[in-house]
Amino acid sequence: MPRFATLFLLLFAASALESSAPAPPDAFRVGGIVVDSLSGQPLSLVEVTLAPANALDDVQTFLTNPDGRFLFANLAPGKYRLMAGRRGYAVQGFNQHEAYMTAIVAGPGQDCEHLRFRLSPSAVLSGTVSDQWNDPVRNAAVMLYQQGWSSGSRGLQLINRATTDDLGHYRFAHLAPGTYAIGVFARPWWDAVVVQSFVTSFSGAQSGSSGNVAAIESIEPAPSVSTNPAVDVVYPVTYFPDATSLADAARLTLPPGATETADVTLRPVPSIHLLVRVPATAPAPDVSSNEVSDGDQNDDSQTVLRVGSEVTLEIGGDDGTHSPATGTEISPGLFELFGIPPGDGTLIFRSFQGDSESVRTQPLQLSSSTELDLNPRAPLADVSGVVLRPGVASDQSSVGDKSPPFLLQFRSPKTGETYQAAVSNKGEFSFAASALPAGTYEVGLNNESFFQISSLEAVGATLSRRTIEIPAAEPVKLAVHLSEAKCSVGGFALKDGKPFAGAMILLVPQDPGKNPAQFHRDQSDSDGSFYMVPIFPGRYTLLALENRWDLEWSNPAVLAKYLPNGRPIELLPNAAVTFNAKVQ
Amino acid sequence: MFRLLRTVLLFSSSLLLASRLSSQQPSPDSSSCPCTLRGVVLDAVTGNPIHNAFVQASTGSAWSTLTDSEGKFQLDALPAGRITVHAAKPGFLSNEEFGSSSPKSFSVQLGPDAAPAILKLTPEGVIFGQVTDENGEPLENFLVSLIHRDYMIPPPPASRQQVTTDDEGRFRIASLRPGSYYVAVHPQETPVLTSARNAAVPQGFAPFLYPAAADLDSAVPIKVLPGKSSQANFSLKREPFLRLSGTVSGYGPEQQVALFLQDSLGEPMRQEIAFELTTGAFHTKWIPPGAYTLTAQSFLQLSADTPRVRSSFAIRLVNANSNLSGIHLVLQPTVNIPVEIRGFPSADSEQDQSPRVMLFLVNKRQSVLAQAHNATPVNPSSDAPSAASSLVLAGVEPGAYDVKAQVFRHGTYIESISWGSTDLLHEPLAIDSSGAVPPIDVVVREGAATLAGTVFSGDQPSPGVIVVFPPDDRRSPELAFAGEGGEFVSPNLAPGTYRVIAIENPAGLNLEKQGALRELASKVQEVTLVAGQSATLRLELTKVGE
Repeated sequence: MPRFATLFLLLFAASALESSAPAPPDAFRVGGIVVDSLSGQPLSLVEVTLAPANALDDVQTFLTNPDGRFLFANLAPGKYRLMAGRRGYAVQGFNQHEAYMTAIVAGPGQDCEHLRFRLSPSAVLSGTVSDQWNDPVRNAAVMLYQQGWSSGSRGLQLINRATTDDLGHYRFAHLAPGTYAIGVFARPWWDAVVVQSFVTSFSGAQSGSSGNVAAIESIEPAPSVSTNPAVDVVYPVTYFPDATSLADAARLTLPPGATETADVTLRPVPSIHLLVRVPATAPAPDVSSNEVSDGDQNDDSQTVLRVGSEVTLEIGGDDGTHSPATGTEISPGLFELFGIPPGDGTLIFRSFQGDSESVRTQPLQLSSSTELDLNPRAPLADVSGVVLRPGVASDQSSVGDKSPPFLLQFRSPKTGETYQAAVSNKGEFSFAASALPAGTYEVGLNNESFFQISSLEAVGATLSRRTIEIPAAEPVKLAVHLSEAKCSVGGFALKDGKPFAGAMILLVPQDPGKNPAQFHRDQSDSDGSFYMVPIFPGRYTLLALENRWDLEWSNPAVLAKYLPNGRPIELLPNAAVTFNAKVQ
Repeated sequence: MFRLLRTVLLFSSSLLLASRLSSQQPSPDSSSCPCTLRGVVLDAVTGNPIHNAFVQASTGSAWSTLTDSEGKFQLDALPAGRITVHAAKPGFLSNEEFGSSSPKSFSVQLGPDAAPAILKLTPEGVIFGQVTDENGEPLENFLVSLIHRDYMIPPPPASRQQVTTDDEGRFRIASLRPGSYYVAVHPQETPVLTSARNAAVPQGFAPFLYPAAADLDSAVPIKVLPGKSSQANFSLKREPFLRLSGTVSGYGPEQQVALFLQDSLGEPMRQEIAFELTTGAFHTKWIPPGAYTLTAQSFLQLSADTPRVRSSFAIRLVNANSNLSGIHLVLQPTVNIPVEIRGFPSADSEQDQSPRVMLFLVNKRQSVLAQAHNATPVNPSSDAPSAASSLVLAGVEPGAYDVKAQVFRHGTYIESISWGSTDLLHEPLAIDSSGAVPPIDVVVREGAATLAGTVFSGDQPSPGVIVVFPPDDRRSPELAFAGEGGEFVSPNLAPGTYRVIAIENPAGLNLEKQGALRELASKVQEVTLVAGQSATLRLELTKVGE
């Protein structure tokens, strides 16, 4: 018996050695068949592309024959992005849902040669934009919205933009079947003409053929608005067919392979004029943004210290912001804006002093020409301080060395006005240039993807959670502590103990209703793996869901069904953790 | 009404208020202005009125309006005299002279009995088409560009406009000025593996010029006429790709060498070639068959403020239909050509550092004018007592060049340019490998004449290109440009008899050809200039048929 056992062991050892001999590198294959997702029929002339996940420019392409098959051979082990597309079928990733797809993992033990790539036939939405004389409107901005779940609740999301050509045509091709809406923004074409016609004709000849532009004899001052009411008009943002708000836009349902037309006619309305009084800063310099060079070799002096202020109006809000008007300072502290359509907008006032910049925004509802006074009504406050990265003591420095420009934001919950102050490279900020009135404000950052406020300390003001109450006259010193999103969560999605590909991985923060921005999503790859980064420290629940891509996950009531079976996680600052998630 | 009143009050112009409110009534005839300008805007090709065109008088935006359905407009309360009126409408050409699209302008005389102004706008041209493969399948995301050859001195890069094909392979380029354009198509996708026989060799598309040419000389340009749409369709075939490889030699271990690859249309292909400096070996990725240019250059920079100079150079033209290896480029040292300029008055102040003479060497190798060398002063001669000054054309690679020169001192002209016994005004400069080269001798003389004037189209001053044919008809003509006001100047001319013509667009003519003057003989104006003379001409804009 023992001898037999030894033989057996030897045999076993021998075969174990054989199977553990290293496979030759570059010996793996990815292949399969491409079929129409509705009919299941194989598709020819499909361009299938494969690129390593860490070198996406290194693309290989395969064109399928009528049998629909594709094969990539001689591959190194690793993760690959597999995509396919052809006429009538938008380029899509393997097993794609919204912005996520299943990556293919090639390597020992992975079977990637029998993939079934289902391509959904795409739809086309096109149309013409005309004005009320039935002339085509060229260079109009056309916005495409899709009804979907990408923010966790059913709504219209801006997914693409196009510009109309000389015939007023636009075309969105390669659309997945679904529900869409169209919005159009354009300025009357003569607006551009009005401004430039004031560069006086280039009198004075040019020398031979040196190509130098002769000196411009005179430039007439920037025009005030035309008083001809037929010319002083503007187009409101128009949603197909004829609505002026996204909520009232028609929903266009596109079945797979459909071609639909959505024509929009822009109707002019009298333009609204705004007169805005702003707190006086140092006198505005004599430079307009279209300054013409007088032939000297002036270097670009825009980066030099700016002094003065700027008033802009943006309309359209989150679903496609447009900037229809920039104000001209017609006298110190008084700006005029024109060419504004009626509707909702945001007024933005920027003032510069040396290298500090402060920004103030105010939501507006405009229905007719009006005057605004941004001068503070309440007595002014004096707020300054420092923003500190996690782990940095109050007397040390530097927030802004490698992060995007920081703006600290005070928002008045009562009026919706916001005041922003730029945070310098040393982490310092000051609201001195903003004419910030005393009052109650919510404190935040303008960009909370990588940094968040974790706590506040104040001298001279009262704090409660994220709200600060600032008195008048007394200087207030603020220390803002940040937490950084540096955590990562990775792992495998398992169903019945086996890796599961294509599951929706959801990381739910502790207070889901209060922190919609802190959700993270991923889709598990062909070996069941997933990885999410960057994440803020805190408490989360990890979920893996099968076939729930239409889940209204931002709704806590909907999530409540899945949370009890999820995996609770606590992330300490800078932690990188690995967990397995059970697929529900 | 309330809003209108407010706006008007802001400008405190009750006159305007009166004219706006009474716009229905005709303006009263008065013996002096404020005057009314009436007019109509028409399509210059069809003569049809243009509705909803924008019209503006240049003295303030208060005088702007839109034409009605019959193309008519009226601007009231204008001051007397000659004013400029602008008109514009999308679909009609504006003045794109200097890259900005200001509206077309017209000079109009105002007065109590002024005739209605007739403003004519020229409709734009369009090029459109479709790009498909050998199966008739549309090719999406291909780059379509237009190449417009202009004959100008010194040559600028050929102007290009680009669009990409849509999902049906279609493209459309509008807002085109009349002229001839070459249409080029460039794929933007990677070559494709198929399951066909050559499974290891990818297939794809080569760049092409309409209709199916690999270079500009065999391509057919598309003529764009005002108001017309011209079609250019492409049917492309996938071909097996290839790889080029070889070595570059002739440089030392301390030198930096750069290797460039250009396709048959002169487009640089940066991603497709890899060069190993230590071994000199290079190879390309998979590229389509065609004619390629490989250029190797090594550079030298003497100090931080001197420009980089090519110290050696090699070029190979390769016509490849299948894999080619063993391509060998040997770097040859470039040549520095001294330039002696004689004849400037010695009273010239030395502190003025602006260039007095510029020399260009124009290389016709690829039938695309390229590679201009500017002469850089070696010794800003602050202590040289003589009137001579020294320049150097540095880093010139061996080859044949046409020499073009310009002088920038008022009252001087270039009398001769010679190199040894070669007269460079009439013959090319032929440089072969290293060795000391004799200097280029430029003789400048005082007593230059100037030709100036105004170009008219009918009774309106008009922009245009003025071609000045010199007395010596073996020399290339000079070009001068007239802007909006029609005014032009061509200075620094040698005394002699010149033939001058003003044309709209030289692109349709081959001015470099001998005998170009003969074709235009009947339409040129002759003028004889003596030393120091400044002559003024009135030129009628000539339409040159193609």
